[in-house]
This record gives sequence, structure tokens and C-alpha cells, in this order.
Amino acid sequence: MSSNNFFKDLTGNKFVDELKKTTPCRIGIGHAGGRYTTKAQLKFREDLAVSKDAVHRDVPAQLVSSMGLLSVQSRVRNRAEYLMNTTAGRFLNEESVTTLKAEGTPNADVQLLVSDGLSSEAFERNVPEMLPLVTARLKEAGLTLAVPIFIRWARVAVIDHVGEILKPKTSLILLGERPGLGVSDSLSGYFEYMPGASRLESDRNVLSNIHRRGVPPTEAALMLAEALIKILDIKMSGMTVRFDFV
Amino acid sequence: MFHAKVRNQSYTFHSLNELMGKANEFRSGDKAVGLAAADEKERVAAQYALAEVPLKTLLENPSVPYEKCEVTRTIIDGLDKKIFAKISSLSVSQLREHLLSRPSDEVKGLAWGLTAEMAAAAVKLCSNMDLVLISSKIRNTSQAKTVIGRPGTLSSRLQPNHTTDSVPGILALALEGLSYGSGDCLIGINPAIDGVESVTRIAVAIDDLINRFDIPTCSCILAHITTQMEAVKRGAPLDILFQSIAGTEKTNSQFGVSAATLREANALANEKHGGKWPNVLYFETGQGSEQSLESHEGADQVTLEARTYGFARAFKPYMVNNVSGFIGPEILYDGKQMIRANLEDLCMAKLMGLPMGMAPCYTTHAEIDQNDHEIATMLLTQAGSNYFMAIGQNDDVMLSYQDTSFHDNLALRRLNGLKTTPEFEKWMEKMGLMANGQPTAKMGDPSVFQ
Repeated sequence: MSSNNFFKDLTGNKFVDELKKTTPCRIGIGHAGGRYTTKAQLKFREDLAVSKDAVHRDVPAQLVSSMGLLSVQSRVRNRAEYLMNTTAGRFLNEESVTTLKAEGTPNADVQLLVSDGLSSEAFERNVPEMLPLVTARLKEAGLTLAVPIFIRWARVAVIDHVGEILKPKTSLILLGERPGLGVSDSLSGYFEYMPGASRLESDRNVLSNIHRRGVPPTEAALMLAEALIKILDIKMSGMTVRFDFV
Repeated sequence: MFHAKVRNQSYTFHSLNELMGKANEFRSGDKAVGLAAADEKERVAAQYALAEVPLKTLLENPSVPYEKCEVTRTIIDGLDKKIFAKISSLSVSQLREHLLSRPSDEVKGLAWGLTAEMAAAAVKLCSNMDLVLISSKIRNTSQAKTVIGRPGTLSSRLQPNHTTDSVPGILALALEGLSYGSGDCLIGINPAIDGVESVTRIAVAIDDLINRFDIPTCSCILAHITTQMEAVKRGAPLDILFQSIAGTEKTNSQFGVSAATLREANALANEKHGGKWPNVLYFETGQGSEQSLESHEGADQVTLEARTYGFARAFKPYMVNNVSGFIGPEILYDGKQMIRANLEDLCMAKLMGLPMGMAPCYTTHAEIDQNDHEIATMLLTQAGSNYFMAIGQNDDVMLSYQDTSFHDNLALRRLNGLKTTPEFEKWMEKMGLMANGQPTAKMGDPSVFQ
């Protein structure tokens, strides 16, 4: 499209209103002496506050236990370390390894993992709805499911450390994405065939942007369940495998 | 081996890379790769030891070996030995004092006699105010359609990104930005989709916009450089070609570029403009990309960023800016680290002769907020950044990060008595946005384009 059509379409007295309809960006906000109006200033602060809180708040322990999740932790010891040290989030701590060996399910068809990642809000708003749907669809397909695990302060690659310990055939990790300004509840689902220490980033696939105004959690749950069934069937995952949603 | 004593405690540094890393002001990215000082005493010990290192030692011991890395080779091969001869007897301590005390012309004239490690080492011994002072001495201009970077000017790159590359959405944000006087050095869009067809579609729309209102600026679509080159070969109207670059060959190869690619791009853009524009490339850099891609080769963030500048200058770019703060808290944890990194970047780039602009920025998961960002832009304006980004109220919805806004650019020009390029100011007068050097009541009202 050339800009000619754009300018032809944009006529009338409400020019700025029409501009605003074309983009989710902050436009047509006016100014006060060249700076933001108080309304615009406070809206920005509100959006930033919501996103920052989503990064720093913990997922309530009660929510984790009420969902029947086995709760463990990465090698990260506190939130600041989680944000600074991306390596420590890729491995479980020693106590968690012991817990997994005692209470986890080895050799299942599917190992489901969930983590707060960079947004507790993403977890709280999506995971309770998604997990039962994913589980139901996988059981319907006749697959064996390991006891699902919650990992506090995890990075995506923890999927391979868990894989090394419990040896599932496939694994999915749902974790909170880095909040954008005003979108703080977005979740990603990474999945992998035969996760383990020797696997690379390119062996994983991802469905991202899972939230109510993106890919709705209910739809995402079914898409991810079908994707797990597929990678189990074709015995591979990664960059060379295409899915309808990527 | 390098040694220093702090309050009777002896410190030994086994390599120049260890010394250079530990002499940095603290930042999380150096710690993550084991290059940060263990504590403040060790940091100052490293600074004492680094102060005594002769510049010759830095020349002879680049942070990544010459044989291993084309970034090193580009810098060493491009060094002006006559200029270096003038400072070859100095230590890092003496270089710092030289930069602070010598007149502007002399400091600016050193550029091609400095390697990345020399610029980085001097910066490590500077306080924030030192960095602003040295930076403010140096103006490096560049020229495409117009000249940018002249004293008294502060330009901006309008960045009207859209989440799905919607042309109406891109144009709407572009009009809003132009109405605030943003975009005199470039209208540059980061596309959501990296493909020849979509790049061409956006390029045509921006070219139409520039021609429709006769705007004295350039266009750029920031896809991968090979995508842009292919689009240009097929006739897409792109003025300036863009690429992200880094301080090691290994990182650049992960970006899918090499010196050869950039030379080819330069030749292609020169041919397109009939050789009339002296500068036709645009680079983005920033502390931490090498660590993120696990290809830092044992060098620290600051040194790697200086190496990026040493690589960039070989291609005579029209624009270079960092995006230090973009990656996240694993590289720059808080506002203090982000501000410091940006002051270092500008100073090193200017010392090495680049027409440097700045994109201090932050993400929601770092301990950085809008107040920190505004402090950064105010200091960087004082330090003489050639330009900033310009986005709608600091929020880039497509790239999901926060950067300098239309409003900020307007305020920064006012605060410091600066103007856009003279051609752009004239254009704003024609559009009724400025009169007698002052913004009119129409400033910030995109309906002037109706």
C-alpha cells in the first residue's frame, strides 16, 4: 500500500482520532508545554507499575499446591539473582534434584513443567486454566503423564535438566514472558522431544504471546497438546518441524 | 601479570583481559562471565594497575587475537601509525589526562591513532562527569541527504514501528512524530517480518511520505542487511542500509554479517546514490550482545563495545547508535549501570571518530525506570550525542522496550538551546510547526499533515 491511499482515507475533522485507530502505540496524546499531559503521564506509570509488579511478585504457594504441582526451585536463590544470572535458572538446585528423584515420575510420555519465569501474573492468569485442558487432551490420546512440576525462577533450558533426571519422551514448559508495557500476563510454551543435557535451543519449539488479547489460553492449551502428540508421533522437535501456529 | 596494592593488600591480575574487566565500574554482565572485580578494593586495584599500562602494551596485546578475529584485524590494519606515534609513550593514566586537558581539535584528531582497547582503558578511569566532558569536546559529523552532528544540533531517528507492520499504523505514528519535530536524520522502521516483500512495502510507503511532504530526511528499514540489499537490487526505495554489529567476529557471524558483507552493502548503497552521499550505512551496537550470544572471547562489555566502534568506523557510517539497556538486567541491572554504560559508549565512540547517536533504553524487568532514562538523555545531550531515537511516549510496542520519545527530543532541544538540522527547521517552518526559531501552537498536532 502506498501512502496515497492512506491520506485519501484519512479525511474529515477527526483526523487524529482516525490516526489513533491504526496503531496500539501511544499517539494523539497531546502535550503540556511540550511534556506529557498529567493523564498520559500517569497512564504510562500505571502500565509500568503493573509490569514491574508482575516481574517481582511471587506466585502464591497455595495456588501451586492447589493445582497438584510438585514444587521445586532452580539454582537461583533470590529474585535479583534470577534477573542477573541466566545460567543459574537453567538448572535445578540439589534439593530439587533429590525431590524429583523421590517424587517425580520417570519415563512418562509427557512431562509438564510450569514456572513463574519473568511474570507471576502470566502464571496466575493462564496456567490454572490451561493445565487441566492440556492434561485432559493428552490423557484422551492415551498418553502417560508425569506428575506436573512447578519450578520457581526457571529459564527455558531447565526443561533439559529435568529431562536428564526423569527421562520423559516429551516435555512442555509454560513460563511467564518478560512483561511489555501494559501487557504483563503473556505466557510462552516451549516444548521438546527427548529433552536432555545434549539438546540445543534449536531442538525446541515455542508458542508465545499466550494471553487474553493474544493467543487465548484455552486455544493455546489445545494447540500445545496437539503439538506434543505430534512430536511424540514423529519423534523429533526443533527448528525443522513446522506447526500450524508458527 | 599486573600488580597493585591497596591498603597493604596485594592484587595480581594474570592477563590484560582480566585487568580490563576488573577495572570496569560494576555491571551484571561482567559478573555473569566471571570478569567483574570481587569487591570495590579489587576494582580500584585494577584501576591503579591499568593506569600504569603503556598504550604500546594495549596495541601489542589486543583483547581478541589478531589471527582469530576480523574485528581486531580491521582495527589494527586501519590504525594511523603517525597519529599513534604522537601518543605512543603515554600510559593509560596519561591518556586520560591528555583527553581532559588538550584542546578539542587535538583530542578529535587522535581518533584514528587509537585502538578500541586504548579508548576503553581510558574510559575505565573516568568518572561520569569526565566522560561527559571529554565527549562534549568532540563533534563528528556525517552526511547523507543532509549533514548531521553539527555543533548546536540535536537530531532524531523517527522509529514508527508497528506490531504487524501495518502501513497505516506506521504512517500514523510517523505523522505524530514529525509533528513534534522528530525524524530529521532518519525515518527508520524495525519490521516485524524480515522479508524482501514486506520491507519493500514499508519502504515504498515511507518514500511516498518523504516525497509527499518534501521532508529533508532519509528512509531506512531495519531488516537484516542481506534482506535490504536484495530489496534494493529489486528497486526498493531505501536510502540508508542498516545492520546490527558487535565486537567479535564470532558474534557478527551469529548476526549473519562480516566485513565483506558490509563492504558489499556500502558499495551497493553508494551506487544507488551515484556516489553523492559520503555516508550511507547505519549501525546499531550495544553493551552485552557478545555475552548474550556466548561469543565474548574473554573480553569485558566495555572493551567489546569499543571494539564494535573500531569495526564500525572502517565503513564510514552515516549513523551509529548503541541500545545499551535493551537486553535486560543480566547485562545492565539498574539505572546506575545503564546511565554509566551509555556515557561510556558515547565517549568511546566519539574518541574513535564515529558520528554517534544514542539509544539509552530499558525493559520492564530491569531496575530502571523513566526517571533514570530521562537522566541518561539529559546527560547524553550535554555530552553531545548526535541524535536520539524518537518513539511515541517512550513505548515501542513492537520491540517491547522503552526509549526516547518525541516529547523528550523536543524538551532536550529546548533545555540545551539546540536545533534540528537547518534544512529540517526550514521544513518545520513551512509546515507551520516552527516560527522564528520557536515552536508554534501547531507543534505536536499531526493534523497539519491533513
